[in-house]
Amino acid sequence: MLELRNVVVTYGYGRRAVRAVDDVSLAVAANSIVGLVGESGSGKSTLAKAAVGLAPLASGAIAWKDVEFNPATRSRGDLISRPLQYVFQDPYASLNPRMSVGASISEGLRGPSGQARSGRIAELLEMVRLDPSDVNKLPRQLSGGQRQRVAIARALAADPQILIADEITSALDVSVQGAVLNLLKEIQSRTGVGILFISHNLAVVRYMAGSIAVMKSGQLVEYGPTEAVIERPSHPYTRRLLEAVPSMA
Amino acid sequence: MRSSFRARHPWLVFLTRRLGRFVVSMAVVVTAAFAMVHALPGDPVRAALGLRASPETIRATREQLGLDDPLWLQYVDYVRGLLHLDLGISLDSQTPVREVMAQLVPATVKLGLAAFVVCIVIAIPVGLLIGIATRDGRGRTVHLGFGGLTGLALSVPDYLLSVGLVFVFSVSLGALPVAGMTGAASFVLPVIALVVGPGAYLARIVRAETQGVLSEDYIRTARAKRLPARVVYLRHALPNTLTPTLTVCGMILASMLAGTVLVESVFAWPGIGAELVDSVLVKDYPMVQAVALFFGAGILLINLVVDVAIAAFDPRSTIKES
Amino acid sequence: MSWSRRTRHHLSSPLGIVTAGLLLLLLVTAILAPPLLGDRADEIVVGSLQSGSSAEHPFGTDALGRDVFTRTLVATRMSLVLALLVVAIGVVAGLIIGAVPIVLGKRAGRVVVAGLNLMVAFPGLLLALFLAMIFGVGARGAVLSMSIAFAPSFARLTHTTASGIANADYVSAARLLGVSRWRILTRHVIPNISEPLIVNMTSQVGAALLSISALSYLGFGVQPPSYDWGRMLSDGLPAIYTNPAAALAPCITIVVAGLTFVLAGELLTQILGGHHHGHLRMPSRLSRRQGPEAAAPTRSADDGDEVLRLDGLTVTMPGETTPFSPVTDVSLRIRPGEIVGLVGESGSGKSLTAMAAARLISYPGLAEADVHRIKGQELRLMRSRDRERLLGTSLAMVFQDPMSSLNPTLKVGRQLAEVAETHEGLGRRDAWQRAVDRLSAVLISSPEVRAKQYPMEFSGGMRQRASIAMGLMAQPALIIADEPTTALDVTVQREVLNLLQRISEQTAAAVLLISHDIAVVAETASRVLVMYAGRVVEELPVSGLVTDAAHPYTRALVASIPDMSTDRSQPLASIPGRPPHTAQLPAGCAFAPRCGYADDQCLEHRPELVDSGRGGAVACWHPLLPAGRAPQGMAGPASVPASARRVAAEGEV
Repeated sequence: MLELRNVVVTYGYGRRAVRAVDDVSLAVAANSIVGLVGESGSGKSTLAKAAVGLAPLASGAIAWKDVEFNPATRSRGDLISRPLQYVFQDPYASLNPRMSVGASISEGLRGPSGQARSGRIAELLEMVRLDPSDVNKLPRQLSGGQRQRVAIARALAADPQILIADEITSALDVSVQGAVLNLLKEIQSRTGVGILFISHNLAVVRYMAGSIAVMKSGQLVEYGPTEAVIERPSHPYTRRLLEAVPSMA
Repeated sequence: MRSSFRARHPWLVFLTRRLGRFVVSMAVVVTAAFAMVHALPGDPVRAALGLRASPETIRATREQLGLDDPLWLQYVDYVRGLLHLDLGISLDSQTPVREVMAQLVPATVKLGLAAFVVCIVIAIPVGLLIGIATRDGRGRTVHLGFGGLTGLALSVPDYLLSVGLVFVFSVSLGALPVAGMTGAASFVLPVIALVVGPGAYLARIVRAETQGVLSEDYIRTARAKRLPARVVYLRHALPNTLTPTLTVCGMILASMLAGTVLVESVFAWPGIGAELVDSVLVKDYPMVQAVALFFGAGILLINLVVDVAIAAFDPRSTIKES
Repeated sequence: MSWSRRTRHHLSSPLGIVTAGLLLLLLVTAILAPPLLGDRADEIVVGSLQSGSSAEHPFGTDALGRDVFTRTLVATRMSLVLALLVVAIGVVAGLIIGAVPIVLGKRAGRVVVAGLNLMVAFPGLLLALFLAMIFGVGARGAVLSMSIAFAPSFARLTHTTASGIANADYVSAARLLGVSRWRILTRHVIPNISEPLIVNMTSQVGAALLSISALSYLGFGVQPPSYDWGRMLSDGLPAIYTNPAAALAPCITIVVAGLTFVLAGELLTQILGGHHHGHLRMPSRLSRRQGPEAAAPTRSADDGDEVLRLDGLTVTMPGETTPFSPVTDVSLRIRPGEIVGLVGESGSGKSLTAMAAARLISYPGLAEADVHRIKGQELRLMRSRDRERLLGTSLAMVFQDPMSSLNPTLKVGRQLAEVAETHEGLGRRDAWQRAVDRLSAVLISSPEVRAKQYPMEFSGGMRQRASIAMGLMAQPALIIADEPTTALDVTVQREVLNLLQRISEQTAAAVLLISHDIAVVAETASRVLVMYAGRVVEELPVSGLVTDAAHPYTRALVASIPDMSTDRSQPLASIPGRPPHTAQLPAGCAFAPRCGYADDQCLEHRPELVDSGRGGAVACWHPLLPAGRAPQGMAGPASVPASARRVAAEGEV
């Protein structure tokens, strides 16, 4: 279980400091998908980045299996860091343009070498529905959806127990989005990984997550099981958000 | 509250901070000029006066320059002297440095400013027009020709260009004076030599910026509003190229100051650049210190003016964001 | 293209041949000239001091009667070696200093960066001159001074490139995977910064050559009896009247050698960056197909009433082998007060269609249509001034990103007012008054104050409303809104859509709403056109979007978007593969390779857009029946030929 305890993240110094995340607590257990929804500037991405040390904690703590640690200063190879993996929003920026698909995924692998290593890479590629023969391709030879699959495979290579998916479909076309979401759900039920699923799109979060957290201006304004949040929102902002979702009907 | 003060007087905050940076940089330059003397290998006085100077003369000069005092005292004396515009006495000519500077500075400033004005008046309109002609990838031939010409201009350094100009206009044609500051005609060749490289650079930047700005969304908006071409270019495009243009103008003025060193040497211009070369060669260190301060202060001042101008004219500048 | 092939390609270009030739010439001269000609260069020809050029001495002789030509050749080695030394020392120092801020951490790093910024402000030659004071004259002093003067700019380049890459997502990802610092440095940072640094280094050799020659010319560099080109120039210059060649020869060699390294840098950029500026085939008007009446109107023509009528629109763009058409044969008719949606994925041609409808396709694109009428007036037959006025007053555009589509250097009110000044000849004050009025019409509070502000001071939603207000400065009959809410938050999106709807109701202005989000269109528009690979594949009333869509693509698009009623226990519908690029369209239906219903007919023949019998039109050989019944003429998906299924399985998913 990953716990974010009273997390505060500030940007800027002194009196100009802005609280991007203001005293937020949230927990993600294995075998669950927690949705985190909010508009631009709500602090949802900053919160997730703080959990893995990509944003500095001003106060509060991150706890993994009840052990508190500071993700920003963890030493390399720390047992705490690898169970938490992150999939970034923009698959064009999250893959090294000079590394092949196989080399990128291989970075996450520990242990197996030689034949076993390439076997594991092929397995991971199949898991994200990519052709194992794509292993030597460079990112620029792949489409956006394919790149995002490589990024997911790379994260899975570390055998994570918690996966943070930060707006992973917002750079993709709608017709590709569905396939990536299905894949993520399938991986979750197959591996039992816990997922913190971040999106600005409430309909997508509702589809993916078992519980939903709503953030606004750095604060957590609502948290509960998906049905409860969608059907009986308690915070006025959640209600506004629900009303604003365009519908086909 | 301080934050509201910041919001109400962004200009005051900006100017204070920017002036503060100028003062700190200036202090660094002054200290560097002071430190230079003590970094010299051996005795600077012996180096300047030569081996034939008697030990008595050396000792007297050292004393006169205060070189035997403790270092901190020398520094305090140096800074105090600067505040009274006392730049010391030239080891070479034995006259106060301030008098030498007063004679030489105007010639260099006149040359530099003339070159700067010519550069801006020619390069900015040219860059703008070529930028318009090459928008959205139009005019490949114009683009290639312009790139080649400016590339060539950029790879001929000012001092070699000076030699070429002297050869063509003075030696072969005998049309223009070859050396010295003797009236308007004597400005022509040095100014050309100083303008060609920086002018080509400025024109390139302005062209690239113009072309970039013309592919921006707000230019598409302006076209969607069916504004006349003149308004699109002058009102919508030009102001958006201002910040990079001003920045480059500052750089150019600074590089022209440096360019005067070489160009003045070729044309025997009675300015501070040529003096610097001679002073370094004879190790006349009070003179070199003074010239270093002049160039250092000049360049820092140019940067200051450019930053303030950008803040004043470009609404996107940081101070207006709050 | 592979690296070696790219190298060969660029080396055989004119730039490559010239650069390689010059480099080779320099290298050979530098190696061979001193041993072969060294003695001759020092030979003193008695009685021929400072003579002009002759057959024996092509560049004449110098003050001691030595042959200038031979000396120029021999000096090549010295000049090149000094320049290379300067760059080598400068680069090593620069790399170390540039890496310091990253190693030291934030606070100490900032001091180093501030110091570098200060150093870079001073021209290198000036720094070198002052340093020469300390290091003394001579080749060693000159090289040291010059390399120290070069180091700051190289350090700053290293620092900015490296810190950019250190913040890249892929480096963050590697850190989270527990990749060691050393491996991150060697596998991620160094490979990605080496390219700009190598290119910069190469052209810096040229710059170093010019600078070190300048130092020698001034007397700080190489001292006699050694000589380089700069030294020769200072020796030859005093005699420029008697023998100009002695001054000009070193000048020319310095310039040529400097230029060689600049060209080499350029060439390296092309090889490493893979920029292949092939000649694009430009579209030409002559490519236009015949017969303006060829396009069959999809609905009964009630001319005159339409605010926009566009028939047979084709947009052509230059392509690598041949021009291609990202928009083909699109027809659009919009009546007053109507809101028409245009949906499609990226690359479907929807935005280009919108731009073409507004006559905003710019070079090198080319838009052609058989009919293009605004308010019943054929644009192609109008004089350009009248046309611009008509478009300026009756057509309004709203673009995707309200931040970038408003001019950051002009006040919002000014940007509105200039429309009325240009097209209606209003005075400054009246135009401003109207701008304030229109800002309040789009519900911007305290419009007088807001009009005087810059776009930067507006929030995202407010900017988009200001864009709409700009369109309302005249009396628009048609508003073309190209993804107007894509850059906005959901709650703001709703406000902007409501505003567009309200304007349409109140002023009878028609709206063409372009969006990739079919739900946005479904909520706002009354009629929707679906585009795929540059063509309209279906047109239908919004009410029928969920149940009546006849084209499998429309159905799949609707199904693939989760909304608040999607069944969470079922996988989302998704479309296999990805849209084709319009430069490489298949022969038949462009959607066939991704379509579960496609057969051989679909793969070979493209279906035309025909009446669907449900108040719209569809381009499909096997249109689906309403509400999920089996497609016409087919038993159902089970009867899809194996070949079609195989094709559908290929591609991305």
